[in-house]
Amino acid sequence: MGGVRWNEDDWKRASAATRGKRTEEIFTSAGMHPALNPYRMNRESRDSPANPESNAIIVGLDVTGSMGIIADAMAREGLGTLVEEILKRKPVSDPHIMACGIGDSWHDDAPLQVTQFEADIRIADQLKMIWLEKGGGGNSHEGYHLPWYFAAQHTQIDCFEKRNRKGYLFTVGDEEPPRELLAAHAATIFGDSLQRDLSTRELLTLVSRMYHVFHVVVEEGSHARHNLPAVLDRWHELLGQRVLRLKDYRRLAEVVVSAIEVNEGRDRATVARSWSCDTSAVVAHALRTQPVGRAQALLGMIRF
Amino acid sequence: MRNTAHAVIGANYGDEGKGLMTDYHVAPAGREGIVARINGGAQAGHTVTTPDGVRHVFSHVGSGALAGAATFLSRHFVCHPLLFAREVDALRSAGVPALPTVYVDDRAAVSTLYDILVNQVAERHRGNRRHGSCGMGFGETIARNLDPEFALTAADLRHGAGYLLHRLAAIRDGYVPRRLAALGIPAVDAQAAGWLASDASLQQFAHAAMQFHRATRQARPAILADHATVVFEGAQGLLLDQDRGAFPYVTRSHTGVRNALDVAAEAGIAALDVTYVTRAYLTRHGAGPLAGELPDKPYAGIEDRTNVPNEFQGTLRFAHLDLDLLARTIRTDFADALACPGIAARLDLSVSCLDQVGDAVSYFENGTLRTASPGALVDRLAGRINAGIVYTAWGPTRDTVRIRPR
Repeated sequence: MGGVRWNEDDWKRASAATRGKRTEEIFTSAGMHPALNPYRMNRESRDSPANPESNAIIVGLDVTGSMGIIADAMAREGLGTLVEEILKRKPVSDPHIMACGIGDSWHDDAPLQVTQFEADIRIADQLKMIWLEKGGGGNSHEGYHLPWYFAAQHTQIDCFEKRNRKGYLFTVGDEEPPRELLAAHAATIFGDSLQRDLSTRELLTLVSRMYHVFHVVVEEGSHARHNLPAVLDRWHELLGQRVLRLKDYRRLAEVVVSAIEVNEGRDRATVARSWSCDTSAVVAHALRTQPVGRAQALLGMIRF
Repeated sequence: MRNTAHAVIGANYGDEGKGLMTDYHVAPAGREGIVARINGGAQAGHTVTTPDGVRHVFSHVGSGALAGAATFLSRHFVCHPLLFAREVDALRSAGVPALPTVYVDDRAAVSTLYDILVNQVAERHRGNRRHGSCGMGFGETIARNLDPEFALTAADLRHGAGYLLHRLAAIRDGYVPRRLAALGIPAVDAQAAGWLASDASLQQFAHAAMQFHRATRQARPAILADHATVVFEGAQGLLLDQDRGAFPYVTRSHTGVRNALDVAAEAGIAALDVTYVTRAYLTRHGAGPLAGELPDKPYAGIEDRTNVPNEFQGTLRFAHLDLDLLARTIRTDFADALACPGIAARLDLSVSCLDQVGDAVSYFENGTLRTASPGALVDRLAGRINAGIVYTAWGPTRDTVRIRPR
């Protein structure tokens, strides 16, 4: 008996699985990190002496297979750049940033991964822990509503609770929004027992109480490349003007920062012009459905 | 399906040749066959060598896989995702690129890294009062699964990694300290504490469990009916049975025909041919009593590549067969099959390693040491237990197995 063993070397290998490995290996082999698991977890964005007027910002990135190599580039560099850019431009005061990895609630082991809210670049350590499962399935949607549900039910943010200011929630990906959140998925992903399934529109209503919700369509993703009109239709139907079209995935940071600035009341053209030449064009493309200025914003915007 | 299945049961302390006889029974059906594991877990080590020289020690996968047979891990089996992955790798390097389908009963228990840890810490703590454990956490898994709050079954793997990580953290933080205290272990050393605290090992284990889930298919025993030949493969041996062996040097499962009867009944199988397997001599790997233990191997021809010495079991130990003990053990176990309503059982015998003993083999009967030819020993034993079919194995492969005329 006893052909197999689990010995000291195995223990050492297991407990130091991420030490001395290249980041690519960690990303591809390790599974979901316990620290990013949303199951029965809450996240808080609280004011502090260093950040007395905090504002919560959530960015959820699609890490499924349809995003292909873009997922790697965006997770490894794009999110980091985004955080740096937000901290540098401060489109809102004292930003607190939380990042999410979004998968598929039907097919993936890890449909959602969430970092803490962080006020500085220390979030980079957590970004590195996001597992790029590159799953997803034959359906044409991913779990973009999972950060919505999590934000609505499992975050406490001082900007809203103390100052009545909404946080920001951006999802980023190339596929369509899903139609509903199944109660069964809420149970296994979040440990919550819902009495029934919730439609994506209901979730939007729920999360919009506390957050400004945007979606960034990555036009270079393989799904969007082939189905862009359908993808845009579905998102416009749901979010109206709050759909941002990203034609160059390396400009995610600038587009997100600009969208926040416009939503905070700055003029659309001025914001686009504030970036260097080629970036400026990408930003203008993304913002073209946004209202020109504060006055129009009040007319055309969906308000909750 | 024919309504008859085989069961292969070790009659001693393990290492009797169960892998060989499982392969022998299922090989004629090839891909149409299925092997059901009915007890134990991945601590088993069942060696199969094919006639064309492929050799593999099966631990988590049924011993019919080299012949192309599927595996069914029944609810009496303890799954071990880390060791399953390792075995799939080993099979691949042995020249089996595509593993035949592995079905798992969703009620089967799942072992965790923490069961291994507690097992190894406890066995070290016992010092020279060891129980002969393999150090793989099998018994600890059974113990933990008795507590519904910390139980983990194959069905739990359906919920994804997030749920699993949560359950594992609860086991680590809620169960392990309590279990160690119950075992009288006040504190673990720094090394074990480090392993326990490591998030990386938690993460790696959860990932392996999800991969195990994706590599297998959940099913109930009814799946057996879709196959031409069904073999229930027992692990360990009758003398290690949790109720009938010499406590505490036992394994935490029923090693006899009992679980096979249970799964067969669920699958609608009406007849069971039970092959009790022994070597031509007695072995024991691990701590515990071994009557008439010999200082060294009794025959020069004995070769064993599977039972290499290890920290937890030491080296392989030897004795001569005691026909009185063996006959009593087999008859006691087979009585369970006779008492089982709805299943017609037949008692068969297999004696292996006959090629290793030379022309004369020693054994005890009525307390006296006797010597006979290998064939005469087999006939004597078959007579004592009134065996139906008697198989003799004269080497490591199925083509050395013969049916002995009676």
